[in-house]
Amino acid sequence: MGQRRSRLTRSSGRTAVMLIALISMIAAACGTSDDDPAEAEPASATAAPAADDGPASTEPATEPEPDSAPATTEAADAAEPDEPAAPSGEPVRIGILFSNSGPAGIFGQPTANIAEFIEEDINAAGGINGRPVETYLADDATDPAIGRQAMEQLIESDGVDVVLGTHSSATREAAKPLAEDAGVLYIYAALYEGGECSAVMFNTGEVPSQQLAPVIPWMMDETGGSKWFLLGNDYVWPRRSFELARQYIEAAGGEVVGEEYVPLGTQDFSSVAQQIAGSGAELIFPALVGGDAIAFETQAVDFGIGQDAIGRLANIYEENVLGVMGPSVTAGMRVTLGYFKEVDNAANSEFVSRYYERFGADAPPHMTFSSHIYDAALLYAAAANAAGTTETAAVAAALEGLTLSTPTGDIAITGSRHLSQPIYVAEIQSDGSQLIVQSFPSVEPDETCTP
Amino acid sequence: MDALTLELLNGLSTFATLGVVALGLGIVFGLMGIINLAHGEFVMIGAYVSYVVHANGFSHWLSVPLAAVVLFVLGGAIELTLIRRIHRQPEVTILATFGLSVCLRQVAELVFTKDFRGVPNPVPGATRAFGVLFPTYRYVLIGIAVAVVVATLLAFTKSRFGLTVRAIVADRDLAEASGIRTGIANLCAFGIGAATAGIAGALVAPLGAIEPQAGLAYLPGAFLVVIVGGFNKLWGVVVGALIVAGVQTGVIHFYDAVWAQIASLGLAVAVLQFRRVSVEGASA
Repeated sequence: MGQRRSRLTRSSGRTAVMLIALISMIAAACGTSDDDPAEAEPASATAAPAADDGPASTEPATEPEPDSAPATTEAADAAEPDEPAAPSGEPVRIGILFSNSGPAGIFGQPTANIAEFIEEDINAAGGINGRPVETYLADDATDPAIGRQAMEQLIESDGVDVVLGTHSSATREAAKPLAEDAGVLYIYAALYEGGECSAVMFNTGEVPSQQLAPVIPWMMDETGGSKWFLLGNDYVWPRRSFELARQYIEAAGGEVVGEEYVPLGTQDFSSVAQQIAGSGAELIFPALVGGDAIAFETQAVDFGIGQDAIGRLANIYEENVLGVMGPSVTAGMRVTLGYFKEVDNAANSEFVSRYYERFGADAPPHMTFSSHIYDAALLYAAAANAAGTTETAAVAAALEGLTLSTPTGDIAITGSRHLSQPIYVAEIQSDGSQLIVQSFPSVEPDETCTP
Repeated sequence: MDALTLELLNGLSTFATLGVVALGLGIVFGLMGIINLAHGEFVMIGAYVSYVVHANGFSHWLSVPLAAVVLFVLGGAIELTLIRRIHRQPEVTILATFGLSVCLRQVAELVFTKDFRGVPNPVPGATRAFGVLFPTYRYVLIGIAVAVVVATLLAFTKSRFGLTVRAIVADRDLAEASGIRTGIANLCAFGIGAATAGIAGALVAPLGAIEPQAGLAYLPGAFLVVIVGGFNKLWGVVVGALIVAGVQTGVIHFYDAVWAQIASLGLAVAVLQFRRVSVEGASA
């Protein structure tokens, strides 16, 4: 009997070793998925615009940008009169690589919705070089290995002319070589840590220098606080963000009194909360994603370091996450991003109304990720029209320096293959809605790239 | 001094959370030898129970017993339909419960979508005791967790049911030959393991996000506790939770949370090396 028991025990010891290996694999897989600022979710839950827009119209009139796209790009498809000719012939295929399942899957639906608008709006404006566009969606399941397969499918099976991406940096690194080998243009449109440079790539998401350089001094002026605590998940995007934040804070005469990183999936913030409480911080810059953000903020309140005690400047908190925290926790927080659906211009109001008209008042909110995918498609269409071809090198050349006006605001591709774009600061109101309290037009990314 | 008191309280709340999460795994894995990779999903379902309770306007406190009942029934059903058929083959249980965990996550996603959910803290704010302010809900969590752990330990050591389970653990064939109905005992043990995971889920619900993936983060910690605390003896869970919580809180205090994670994994590796030798020694 003793013998039997010991054998049993030993075997469970061995299986335990296997288990640790298995669990760390699972944890690693989940880790990479979270890896991404692209985690952030839809913008503010509240507002489902509704009301005043007309029927979901597909005429170019609703969408100022497709119209202006050919206009702003000097060259290309020779003067159409007011009504562009209906596109015909072999379609131009636009692939969209995005996360529609897995941890970041929560951001997938708005992007899938926007794909409809991309087809409609570009075709309504005459297509690309007279050809209609078709969109092809591929889901990376928030997993770089699957992302690579999805990229392969877009390129090999669907034969796309361009890939627009909104997914984790991990997926980008896995999928990029395929685009490079096939010579397919790849526009990565999710906000990310910066530093990407490749002959086939353009990066149109917000980079930390854009989200932070103008906003940090503004935040210090606005609140009078100068002592910052930086708290982030432990991966490249928060680390890069904090590296830059530290420079901007010190340049503005502030001081970083603490910098802490926690693993993705952290559930207990008690020790961290205590460190923050003892640090003398007047402002917190939390670069936490998804569930970690919710856990930190809900626990922070009970430790006496909620927003009412120490102001927050967040660079990823979005509508879904803020909604779960609830207005009692979030009221007063500031968030810096390149797009909120509350952006105040006529084109955006119309666009947002049309979005909710089409997909329902309770549709997952249109937010910075879906907005950047839309802008990337318009940029591509404008560049391909200007180039008169969909050939990668020619379109890439036409993209550099291209300017457009979209619901986001005025945007321009920089020489570093990133995007000069407006940056908005939203303040969470006591009813949980987002109010844009400051906007910085045409913020330049601090990037360099000569592929 | 105050800082030390706070850190002790933090450690205590980490210990309580770990303990109640790992308790069910201690029963299922430690005692019964079933490697249940779906244990985290039981915690996740417990958290969703508290979300449903909240969404229907009932008190959070109702969700604690309700989660236990729901998970006991679910755990029992899983034991009957799945575990019972494969529990003598550890490799197969790993695969089967891994598949089960994927299934449960997908079902949660179908029912509740991927959106984050939350339940408000039923006792917001902090209480002053021992000269420091500490969140009230954490005191409550510590209290309930300790009560659940103690009650379960008593049930498994002092009751006739506990004796039966221990007899099965010691020698299944002999137990069967002596007229013990191992089927029912296994069913109950697995159900109780799931029920305590459900309680854990309901308890931690107000402290973070509820989403289909939420259980994943609890699984490594629970296995760590069981491995460190040792198999075959349920009170090992308490020892394991104490050691793991102590290491984590200590390392976070002196270094940071990333090193704390590395340290607790290192601890598991070290303990396994040590324990293997001692088991072989004992069997000689």
